[in-house]
Amino acid sequence: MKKVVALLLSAVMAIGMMAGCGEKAPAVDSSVAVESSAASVAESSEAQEAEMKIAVILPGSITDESWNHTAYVGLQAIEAMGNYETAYTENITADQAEEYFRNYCESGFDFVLGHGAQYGDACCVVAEEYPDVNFFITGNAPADIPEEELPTNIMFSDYRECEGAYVCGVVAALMTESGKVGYVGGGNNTTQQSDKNAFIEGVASIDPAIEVKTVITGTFDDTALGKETAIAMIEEGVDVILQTCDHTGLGVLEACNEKDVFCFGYTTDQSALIEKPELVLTSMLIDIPFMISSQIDLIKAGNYGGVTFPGLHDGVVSMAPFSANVPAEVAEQVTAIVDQIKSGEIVITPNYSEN
Amino acid sequence: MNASFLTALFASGMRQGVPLIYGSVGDCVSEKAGVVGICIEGEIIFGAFFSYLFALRSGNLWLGVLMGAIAGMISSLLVAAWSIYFKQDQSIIGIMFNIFAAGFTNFLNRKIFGVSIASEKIETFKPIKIPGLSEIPVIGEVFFNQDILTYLSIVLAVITLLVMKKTKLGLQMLAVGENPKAAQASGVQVQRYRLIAYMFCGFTAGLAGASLTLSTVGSFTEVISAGRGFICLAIVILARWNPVVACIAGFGFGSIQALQLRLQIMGSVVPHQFFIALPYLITLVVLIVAGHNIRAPKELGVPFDKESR
Repeated sequence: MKKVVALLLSAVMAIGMMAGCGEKAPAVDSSVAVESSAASVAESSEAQEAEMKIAVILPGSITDESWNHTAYVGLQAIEAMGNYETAYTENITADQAEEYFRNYCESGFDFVLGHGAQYGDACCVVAEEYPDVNFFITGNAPADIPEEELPTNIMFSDYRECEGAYVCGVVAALMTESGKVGYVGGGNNTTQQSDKNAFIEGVASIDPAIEVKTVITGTFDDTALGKETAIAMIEEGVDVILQTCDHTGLGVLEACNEKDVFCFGYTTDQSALIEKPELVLTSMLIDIPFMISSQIDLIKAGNYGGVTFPGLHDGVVSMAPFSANVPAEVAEQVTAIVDQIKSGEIVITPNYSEN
Repeated sequence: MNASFLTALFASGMRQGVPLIYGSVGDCVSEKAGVVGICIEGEIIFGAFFSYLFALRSGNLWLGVLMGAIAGMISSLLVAAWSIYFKQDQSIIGIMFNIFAAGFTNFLNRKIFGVSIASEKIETFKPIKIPGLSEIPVIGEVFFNQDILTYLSIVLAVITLLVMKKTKLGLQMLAVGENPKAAQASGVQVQRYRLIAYMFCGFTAGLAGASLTLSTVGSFTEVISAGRGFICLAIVILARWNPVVACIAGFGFGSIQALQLRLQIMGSVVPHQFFIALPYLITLVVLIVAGHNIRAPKELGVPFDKESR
């Protein structure tokens, strides 16, 4: 009897471990560890060899309705474009990245994307070892490597997320009544830092007297902490909050919903995520699906690599339609500023300083 | 530092402390009986997921709470089987279980809710003012204007302490953790008692998960526990395996977390990393300062073998 129970429990645990590994384990054996995101593609690729094998390394989970989710959508867009085989691995920290890059290269992937500036260093190391594989980093190139020494098979999409954050700062400054606005960030990487600083800059461009309260929660996954952070801000009198921290940010939106405070969506139009969508003044949209899928054509054209700076001007960063709470004259003023950024009249330089 | 600031600070501390209180009260019992609850983290995730699922689908928050607790309890059986009956290392089983819990709930979450639909919200538990007591300045707002799960967590801590100190069951539990051989000689079924203690721990960890989804967030996000289970382990040691002290320590940890957020909001030249680390730093310091003569249950973490001598 005992043996039967032991056997059964082992079986359950073993199945469970596999489910766990689907997201977490190194992609050594692609049949177990790499999740092919669409069954139909997996079937069709049996009939004919895939034209290109594409993998994405993600810092968080694809259900965050934000940064990671949009990369997943981008991967699906690629799949819809033709005969491509795709895979992704979630929840990879910067120190694990090198191993995962290498594993994907070893498993015969032709194009490996690291979704976040924090993967830049690891990618540079691996890219030199695999000159035939193309790489992509959603973020700026490592600052300590001179641009001419960067491996030529990596494309750094140093997109100007901070332009969106700047515009959010402008909107926040025009909408606040208390003279206090807030920013909730998730962690310590260049994208987050430049978001924070650009938001502060945007607020100051309208009225330097407005106070910007900032909190870095240190986590992208703690929804409950995000909610408490926002409540703490609201109790201090903050009445407009920008969040750029995935799951933690969902908690911020929840608090704003509860306390009737204005907020912004991040990466996608997040107004649908709360019961009072009109509180989400606008969302800074980042067209990550396009950013990723447009690389395929570049690779095919043969002139891949380097650093690009997409932003508001080419639609990679854009603003969602304003909510009903934004008065027409504010919307007009903000649209004018967006146009000035697009035309280059206002230049927002990413500022990576921490404090 | 006026009264309204302190009130808001400690009220937030209490809210953030609730999952920690549930988790650590259960772990007090299981550790007293000799089994370490490394697995609390995973049980919280299970509790959070199933409480959300059932509350959403049935529209009844209380069914959600119950199913969350039961899910925590059932998942604890898996760990209990290995660590109590197959006598494997409790820490290793616990860590394996935590990885399993995170992966398995992610898997269920995606199978049931998908990856692209906006997560459906549930109406969370609302604060209940306790007549009279909630009028007391500061304390009233902090302790007597919270939701029902907060009150239950305090009641649970007190009852658990009474049962452990004043009843035969409690004393037998202590014996099982201190000297299982003597307990066995006096007719206590050591492994059964340890199983019960473990299940109780799973039950309360499930409640901790339910409090995250049903009274704070209103939805389930992946790996929602975010390390709280491990904080519970530290709290239990700090509290010297006393559920009521654990309750206070949980409230204390939540308050420090609330304080660090407010310190960041006030703005300072100190890097934010310091504030993020602050709650953990203080926990460490308290452990060092107040922990010089902490004595753990003697047979903690040691599997009991009936036939050994």
